[in-house]
Amino acid sequence: MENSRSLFQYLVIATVVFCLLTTAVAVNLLMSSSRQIDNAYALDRAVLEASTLAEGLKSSNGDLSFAAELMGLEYFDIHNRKLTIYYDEDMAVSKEKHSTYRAVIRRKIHDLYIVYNIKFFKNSDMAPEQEPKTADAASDNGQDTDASNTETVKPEPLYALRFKCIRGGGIDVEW
Amino acid sequence: MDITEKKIFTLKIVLIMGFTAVLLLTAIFFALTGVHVYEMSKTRETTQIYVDAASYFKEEIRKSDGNVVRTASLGGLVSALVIEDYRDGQYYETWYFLRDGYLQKAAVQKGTDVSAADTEPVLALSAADFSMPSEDLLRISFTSPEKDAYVFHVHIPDYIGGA
Repeated sequence: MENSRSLFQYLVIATVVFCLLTTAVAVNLLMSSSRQIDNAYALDRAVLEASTLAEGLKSSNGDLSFAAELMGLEYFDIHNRKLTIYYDEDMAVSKEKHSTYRAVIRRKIHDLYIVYNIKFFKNSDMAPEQEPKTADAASDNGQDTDASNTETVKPEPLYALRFKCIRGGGIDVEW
Repeated sequence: MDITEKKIFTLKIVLIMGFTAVLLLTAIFFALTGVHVYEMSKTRETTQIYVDAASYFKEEIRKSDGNVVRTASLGGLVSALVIEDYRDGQYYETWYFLRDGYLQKAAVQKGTDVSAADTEPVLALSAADFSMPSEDLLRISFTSPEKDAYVFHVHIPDYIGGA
């Protein structure tokens, strides 16, 4: 009688431990899928935003301020030949510099064409005032780029789009 | 039942209640996270529709050198996009406008009035607006039936006419 009671208690404990372990695994999987789907949604919106920003930039002939005006952007920053647009968690343009996402647009003007570089960052991936100033900044100033010379660690963009546009409109080449 | 047995009994009750509470909280957490994942996956599907819509308009506008793009207003109230193209010796106009909760597409010969019979619904929307901030940039603003706003631009290259 005592033995069967003891066995029953072991079984109960084993069942509880098994339930807790499987619950922990399931919670982990669900949280991971939740994170991944949030990231996928952010990526989808970033792709759409980058694509629409690219279209506006093609009409601006390299003038970032004019591009922002053309696209009807209410809030943006132009600093050091770099256009920065801030977005909230729903990818709507925000005036808050510490909002969820930011798009950083750089351009390099050549004689016949302009190269634009659009990068979407998640603000949580970069320090509040961190500027992605490395190879891009150097290339924007026409300097040779060398990643080993960088002072700061470049944050990984959520999405990046680089394209070339013939000056004065017309055909564009994306890559 | 002596005091020790009573304590053990109470402890068992507390453990069972604790275990039930953990299971209940986990079930609530599963339900909430599951709903979030489901909603996000539905939102992703919706977003994809607008990504496809942006690509569709880009393709439609740029598919022919002879295209002319302009915005119009139906009855002074409904914003419309008109893509004019030339094929088989004729000028055609494709109109896009919102009616009955859908973006409607109507392809007619130039100069012909657009009638309800010419239209086909292409996308469920609660609002649509077409404007041209410059002669080479088209702005398309859509509001989904779920009231999410999507704005996208289409650059009109030199070989396409903007009006």
